[in-house]
Amino acid sequence: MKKRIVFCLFIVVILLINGCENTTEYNYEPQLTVNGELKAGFPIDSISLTWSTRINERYDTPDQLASEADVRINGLTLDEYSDYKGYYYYPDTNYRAQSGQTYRLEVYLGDEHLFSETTVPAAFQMTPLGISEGDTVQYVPGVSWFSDEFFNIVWPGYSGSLIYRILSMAEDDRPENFIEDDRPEAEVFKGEVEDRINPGIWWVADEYVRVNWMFFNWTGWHQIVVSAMDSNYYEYRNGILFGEQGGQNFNQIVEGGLGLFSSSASDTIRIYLVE
Amino acid sequence: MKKSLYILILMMCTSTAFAGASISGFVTDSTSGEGLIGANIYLEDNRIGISSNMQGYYVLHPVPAGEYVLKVSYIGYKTVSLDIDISPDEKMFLNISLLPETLAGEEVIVSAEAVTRDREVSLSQVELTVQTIRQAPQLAEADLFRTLQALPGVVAESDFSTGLVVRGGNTDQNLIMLDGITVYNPAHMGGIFSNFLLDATKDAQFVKGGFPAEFGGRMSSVLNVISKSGNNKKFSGSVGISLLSSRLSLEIPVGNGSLLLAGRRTYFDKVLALMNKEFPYYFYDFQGSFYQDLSPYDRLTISGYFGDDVLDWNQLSFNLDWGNRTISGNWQHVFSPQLFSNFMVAASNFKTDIELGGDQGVNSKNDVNDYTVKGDLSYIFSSRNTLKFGFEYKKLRFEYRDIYDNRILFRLLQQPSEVAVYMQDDWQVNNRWIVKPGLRVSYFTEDKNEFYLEPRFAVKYKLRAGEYLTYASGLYRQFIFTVQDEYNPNFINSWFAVDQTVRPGLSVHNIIGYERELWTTTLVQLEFYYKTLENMLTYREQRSSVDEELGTDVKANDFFVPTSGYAYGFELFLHKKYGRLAGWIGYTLNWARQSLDDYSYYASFDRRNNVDLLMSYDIGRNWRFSFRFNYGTGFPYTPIVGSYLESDDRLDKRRVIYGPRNIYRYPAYHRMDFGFSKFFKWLKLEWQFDIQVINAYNRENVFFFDPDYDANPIELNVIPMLPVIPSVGISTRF
Repeated sequence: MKKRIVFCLFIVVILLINGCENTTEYNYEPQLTVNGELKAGFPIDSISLTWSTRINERYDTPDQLASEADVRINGLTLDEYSDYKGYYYYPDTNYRAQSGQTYRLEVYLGDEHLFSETTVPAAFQMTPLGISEGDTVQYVPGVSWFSDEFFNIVWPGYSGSLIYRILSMAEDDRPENFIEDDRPEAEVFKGEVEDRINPGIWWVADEYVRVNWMFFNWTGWHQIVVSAMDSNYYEYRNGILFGEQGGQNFNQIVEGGLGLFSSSASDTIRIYLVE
Repeated sequence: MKKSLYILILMMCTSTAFAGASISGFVTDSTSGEGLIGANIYLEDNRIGISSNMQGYYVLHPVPAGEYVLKVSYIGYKTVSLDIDISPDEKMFLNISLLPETLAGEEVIVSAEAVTRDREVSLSQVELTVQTIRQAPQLAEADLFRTLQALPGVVAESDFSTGLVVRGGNTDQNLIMLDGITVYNPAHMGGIFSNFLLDATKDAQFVKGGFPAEFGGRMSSVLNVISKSGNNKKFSGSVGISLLSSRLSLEIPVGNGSLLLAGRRTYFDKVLALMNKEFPYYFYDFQGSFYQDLSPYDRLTISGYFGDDVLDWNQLSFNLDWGNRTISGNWQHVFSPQLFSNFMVAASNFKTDIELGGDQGVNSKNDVNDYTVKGDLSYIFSSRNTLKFGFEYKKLRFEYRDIYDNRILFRLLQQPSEVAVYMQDDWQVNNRWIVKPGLRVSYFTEDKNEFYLEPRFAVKYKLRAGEYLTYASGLYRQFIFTVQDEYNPNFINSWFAVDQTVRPGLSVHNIIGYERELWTTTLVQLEFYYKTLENMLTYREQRSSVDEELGTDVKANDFFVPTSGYAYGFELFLHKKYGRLAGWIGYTLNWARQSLDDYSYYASFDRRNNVDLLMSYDIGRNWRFSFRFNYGTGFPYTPIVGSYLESDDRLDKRRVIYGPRNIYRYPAYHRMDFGFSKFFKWLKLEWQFDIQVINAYNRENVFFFDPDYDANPIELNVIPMLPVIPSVGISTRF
């Protein structure tokens, strides 16, 4: 009997020793990140290069701007802004991104090499329904994302994109123009008052967008920019779980690094919002 | 083949084919008429003895002609001794009622338990009575799943989940049944309460692995919750009120049977409204059964459950409706003393319906329907050999619909059928050996149309009185599943069926156990287990789990990738069932690993060390103290290791970067709960007053880390589990 107990205890002690583990350490090495959007009809003027950051380190520090890189688009070398380190542009402003064209981005910096490719969507035109350019729109507080629309914007028959981005940008976002709305439903759907930002951004996969209270946090002039986005953008957005504003993106579209390199074709309407 | 099968069944129905006298009948509680599970019936001075089955039925066969003393014993009841005189080939039908006895002597208990242990292979099996469940300290009210989570080999996903992680398996790998009917999501929203109403529950049988051939369709464990039949002697009931909910049960004798009705409703909504806070959420459960004894050999039962979680937040145009419904008709028939049967027709439904934004908004619906026909038969060759066999047919229907602005974005409709037949033998070879071989054959229509063989085997060897060695092994298939998301906590488990693009889950169990009685009422069990798990599904990393227009022709591999894994470990269970001090200490040492695309990692619920102490102590003067302590090493998680700038036109934000899957671990989990109960009489009724404290020292256990992007550097805020929560409740029986 004693032998049996000793044997059982021996087995248990061996198992317990096996059950102890050392803490795992993982050292993340920062990666080169490129962000840039080629806009149909516009010069190439804002390709940014930064380094990603370890989670316990400060971000947006000057040393995270990736300066003096060799940045090329379709073989054309981009220059770095002298007063904005890490931002690159093509000096010939007559050279503009064109719908239907494919652009290949390549970046070399030290041992790092990354590239990505985008095809600019076909020219895009939208039609606002019920309002015209420069009209005044009355703001009516809603209760959810799906509250009644102030107006609709449609683009029937356009097939150049799988995802559309809608930017609502207040031209004058001074505090006196801010729409104070701290109702519970506003805090649920728009976020805390201090978290409301300009511009606001939405995405749809349809041929229309219903513009309602969710699109506005300031009164005054607004630009509503609807952009048909390229396949890079579509892939990138599809890698993000619903509602996770800052979560992981599982679909990286830049080979050798991180970031969002895409292209778009846009149309804009201006409206004047009053409370 | 068909002819020989027919002859076999005919021979079983006409017991003259196996000549000999027999004594059979039902063992019931004399005050309620409730069948007693596992009562011991034996002939004194003779080696013939047996335990009653789930319905309280027993048969002693063959019994040589003569005069005997028949003894019937059951824990908590007075032992009955009857003088009987049986003639050759006599089929004596004898129902026995036992009288409850508060002060059952421990010797009686021990001897009764010992008889059962000598006859049954119960490896990895735990039977929980309602009394045991009620004795554990709980939030607001006793809950079966919370008690199960205190068993060795079982861990909880979190304080907000009643899901059972059994020996490293996922929560969908447990077959959870209410009277044999599958219940798909047995928890209310937030996971704090499970569905089952203890006032309507008689017993719960839980098998952590190596389960026999009568159960199938899941890879890890089986939980069968058995409802009360209802009191057929007198009108009775109970009422309970706590800070969060109220409950009521009634048992009404009707004809040759009884009607049982039980219900519960929470009132978070009303309590918060009093505090000028709006959270219009509540849930309710209703459980009922009605039975009639048509003859001494026939019982018809109709039972049902329905429960709903309701969130009507009209201010936000947000409505959520989530619930389970089951209904079943059950015919229990004794064909002959040796052939006992149970046939069931049942339907089970689980649905979620989430609406946001009214007609033009989002509507997400999920419906799971299960229509089952099954038959379970037992042929008792002798008190040493019982053959169980049966069939099960399930017609399943899973539907998912995402509607936005009155337009279907995504629809998945699966309508598979699952068929199974099984046979298993419980054979006590001699006084030392019991073997339990079995075979289950399954067929599932949505996959590659194959028959699947699932052999099962268990054996028990008696080393000496009260000391046993056991071994069990088996092959287990699973055709429907929920999906493990290793990046986000799951709040709603959605069920899917395998199709031709993914293989059914497959698990092989191997368990070795050692069991020994210590002192008079205490049992120590040691078990070593190893199980493989193949074709578990997880989300494809490359695809968002929602928010995409996928259309209607969706296949499982559009969303999911199969992972495989294994789990092994060791469990120690020291269980004192009876006496002034009762409870258990459980310890589990477990490893659970998974692999995906050649990358191997710890499973999300790989808890290396877990200790549970659960006890209740009768202080005296009608006071009882209950206590639970749980310590578990941290679960693995996938850490956020970095962040990068994402610039989308004029909008900059930080997007996080995850490290390799599950390489870090959360801090250890520990929690202490305790409670005091006072029993007293008032207004000629028996009352119980409970005061309980959950997480008594307010340990901040980590649920997950939530990044705060406004901070620089990004801060990972702890989202904690339950804080310290006191609660009081009062209940009475009449």
